[in-house]
Amino acid sequence: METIEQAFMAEARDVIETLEESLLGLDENGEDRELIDAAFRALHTLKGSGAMAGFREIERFAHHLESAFDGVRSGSRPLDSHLLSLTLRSIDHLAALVDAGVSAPKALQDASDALLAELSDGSTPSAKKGASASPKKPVVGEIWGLRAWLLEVSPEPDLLADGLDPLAILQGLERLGELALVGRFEEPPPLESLEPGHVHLSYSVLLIGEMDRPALDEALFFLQDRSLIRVELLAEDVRHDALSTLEDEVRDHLRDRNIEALKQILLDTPIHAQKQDKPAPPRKPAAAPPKDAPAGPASKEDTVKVPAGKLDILVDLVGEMVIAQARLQEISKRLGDPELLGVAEDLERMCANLRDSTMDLRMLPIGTTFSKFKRLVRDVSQQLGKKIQLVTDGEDTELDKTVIDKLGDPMIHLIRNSLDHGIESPEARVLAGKPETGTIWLSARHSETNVVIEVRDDGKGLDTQRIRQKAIERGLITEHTVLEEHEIQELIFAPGFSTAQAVSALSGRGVGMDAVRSAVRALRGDISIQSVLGEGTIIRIRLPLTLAIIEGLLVELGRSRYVLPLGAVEECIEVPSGAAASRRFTELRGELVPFFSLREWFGAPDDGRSDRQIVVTNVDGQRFGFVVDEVVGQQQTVIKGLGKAYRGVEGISGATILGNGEVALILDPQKIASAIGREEGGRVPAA
Amino acid sequence: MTTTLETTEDRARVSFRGRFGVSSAAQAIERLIEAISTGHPVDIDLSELTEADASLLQILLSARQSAQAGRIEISVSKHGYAIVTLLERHGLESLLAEPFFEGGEEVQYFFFDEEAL
Repeated sequence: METIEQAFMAEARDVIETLEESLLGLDENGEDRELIDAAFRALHTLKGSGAMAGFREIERFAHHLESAFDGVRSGSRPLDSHLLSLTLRSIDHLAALVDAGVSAPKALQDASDALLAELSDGSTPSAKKGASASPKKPVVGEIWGLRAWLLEVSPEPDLLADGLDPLAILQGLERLGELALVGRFEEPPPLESLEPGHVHLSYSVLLIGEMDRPALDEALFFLQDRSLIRVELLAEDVRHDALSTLEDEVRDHLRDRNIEALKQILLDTPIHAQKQDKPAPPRKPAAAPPKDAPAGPASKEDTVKVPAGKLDILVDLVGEMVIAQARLQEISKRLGDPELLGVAEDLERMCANLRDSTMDLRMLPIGTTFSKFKRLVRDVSQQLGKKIQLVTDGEDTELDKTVIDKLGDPMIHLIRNSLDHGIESPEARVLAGKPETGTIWLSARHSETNVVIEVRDDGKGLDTQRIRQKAIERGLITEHTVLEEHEIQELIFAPGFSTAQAVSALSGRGVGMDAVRSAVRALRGDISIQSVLGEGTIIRIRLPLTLAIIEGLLVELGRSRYVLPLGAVEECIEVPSGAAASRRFTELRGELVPFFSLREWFGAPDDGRSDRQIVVTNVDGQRFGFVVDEVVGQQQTVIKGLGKAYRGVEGISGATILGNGEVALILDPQKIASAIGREEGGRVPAA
Repeated sequence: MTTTLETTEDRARVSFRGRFGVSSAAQAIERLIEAISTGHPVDIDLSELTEADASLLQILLSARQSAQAGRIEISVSKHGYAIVTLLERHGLESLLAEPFFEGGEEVQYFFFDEEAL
C-alpha cells in the first residue's frame, strides 16, 4: 500500500512539472496572469502537501519561494530573467528534495539556504534559516467571498504513538486557504511518568478560504476518526488577506479562545468596511479548484493514480489471455461445435474490448515529454550564447507510456545536436540572411499504427561533402563508393561518426546518433534524416503506437504464417489475372499501386499457385501491395521480442504466438517497402 | 536521532541531534532524568536538531515539571531551525524571545511563558 510519503512524492513530481511549465510559459510572456497564479498555486500546494507528509525542508523552501511569487502576483516584485532563472534552479532543487525523501541531507539544506539567500536579495528578508516562517502577505487583489472556519481539534491520546503527527495533518489545511494555528498544551506529567506517545495537546485553527464543509471534512480525513473535532463557521464573505493583515490579533484571540472577539475582527476590519464602496466579484463555486490547478479534492473523484508497474502486469495478463483466447478459438474451429464456437466468438469480442481498454490506460500525451525540452532549449541556448526558440506541435498525440519513457534520452540528444551543431550563432545567422533567433520545431502526429515525431531546425544543415570526407577517413566508405545525397546524410547514424570540429560538452563526442538510432530501433521504430545545407535539418522518428498488443492480419505463405499490422492494411484484392512476375503494378480505382511477392522477399520457391491475394497497405499515404498465398483473417497479436539474434532482420518487427502454439513473424510493411525500393533502384517507390 | 549527556563539575548538558520523533523519546527522557538527577543546572542544546514533532515539546515541558520539583535550573542554551519551526507551528514563536532563562531568586525555570501555555 502506498504510504503518505510515497503519495506526496508522486504528487510533488507532477506539481513540479506543472510549475516548470508555468515558468517556461512566463519566460515567453512574463505578464501572463494565469501562469503567475498557476506557479503560485503549485508552490502553495508543495508547501501544504509537504507539511502534511512531513517533508519539512520542502515546506520551508516552498514557503519562501511562494512568498517571492506572491510579490510577483501583487506587482511588488518584477518577474525579471534573474528571478525566473533562480526559480527554475529552485525547482530543480525542489525535485532533488523530493527525491531525497522525508529527511533532507545537510548538503541539500545548505543548498536551500544558498538559493534562499539569493532569493532574499530581492524578496523576503526572513528567508534565512531560523527566521520566522509566518507568511505576511501583501494585499493582493480585492477578493471577498471567503469563509472563516474555526476548528477545535483534540487528538486521541495515542495518535502520536501510532506515528501520526496531528500538527503535520493540520498544516496540510494550508492547501485550502490561509491558516492560523495555535497549539495548546495541558500540563504533562513529570518525566518519570511521561508516556511520550500520549498526546497532551489540542489545537485551535482558523482557516480562511473558499472551501465548504465537505472539502474541509475531506482534508481532515486522517484526523476525523482519531480526534474530537469541533467545526464552526465563524464568518462568511471575509476578505482573503484578512488573516495576513491581522495575524497577531487572530492568534491572540485563538490562544485565548475568544471566539466573539475573533468574529468581530474578521467582520469589522477596516478592510471589510472598504467593501461597501466596491463591487464584489462573483463568488467562485465553493471548493472548486481552478481548472489548471494541481489535483485537489474535487478532481480526486475523477482520477485514480495507479503505479505504472501495476499497468504492466495488467497488460501482460491481457496478453496471456489473448493467446489463450486464440487457442480456444482454434480448438473450437477444429471441433466444430456450434455452442463452443459461439462462446469462443463472445470471448474474442470481450478480449478485444479488454485489450483496447487496457492499452488505452497506458497511453499518455507526448506533451509530457515536450515540456521538458522547453527547459533544455532555454538553458542550453543561454549557455551557448545563441538565440533559439522551441515551437511544439501535436502535444496531445498519445503514445504508450513505455515508449515515451524510453524516448526521453534520444530526444534530448537530438535537440542538443540541433542546439549545438544545427542552429548558428546570432551573428552567423544574420550574415546568412536568417533571423537572429533560430527555431527548433518539435512535432508529433499519428500516422496509421505509428506515431511520427519530428525534430526540425532552421540551422545550417548537413554538409554532405564534409560527411563524405569524414566517412572516408573513418573507413566507413571508400573514395570510390557512390552514394546518393540522402545516403551520405544517413552516415551520421554510423557508430562513432562525428563531424564536430571540436568535441562539445553538450552533444558529446558524436557517438550519440548511433545510440539514438539503436534506442529508436529497440522501440521497434525507425529514424531518418533529411537536410539541406544552409536551410536546416529534419530528423524523423517513426514509432509504433504500442509495444504490447496490436490488431493484426494473419496471412499464409506456404506452410508459414505472418502478421501484418491491421492499421496499415487498406484492403485485400485478388492478383490480377495474367500478372507476371515482372509486372510490379496493379491498377486500383484509377491509381497504379506497386506490389511485391512476399515469397520473393523471403526467398521461397514459387509453387505455381495462381489464386494468390494482394494485401494493400498504406503507410504515410504511400500504397504498397504484398502478394500472399492466403489471407487467413484478423488476429489479436501479442507482440513478443525476437531476441538478439533476429533483432537486425529487416522488415520483421517481432513475433507472436498463434492459437495452435505456432510462432508467426510480424511484418513491418514500411520497412519492407523501403528495402524493396532500394533494391529495385527506385523502380518501386519507397514508402 | 541521538541524545547525549555531558556533565561537568557544575553543569549538565543534554544535546539532541537529528530527527526527533516518538521513537526517539525514550532515550531523550532517560538522558534528561539523568541530567536533572545530577543536581546541577541543566543546559539543553537543540542546535543540531533537524526535525521534531509535538512529542519533543511534551518532553521539554515534562522536564520542566521535574526540574521545578527539584528546584533545578533548566534552560535551552542553543536552539536551531527545527525547534523554531516547531514553536511557530504551535503559535509559540514569541516565546523564543531572549532571554529564555533568568537566574537568581526569581528563577524562571524554563524557556516558555507559563501564562501563554
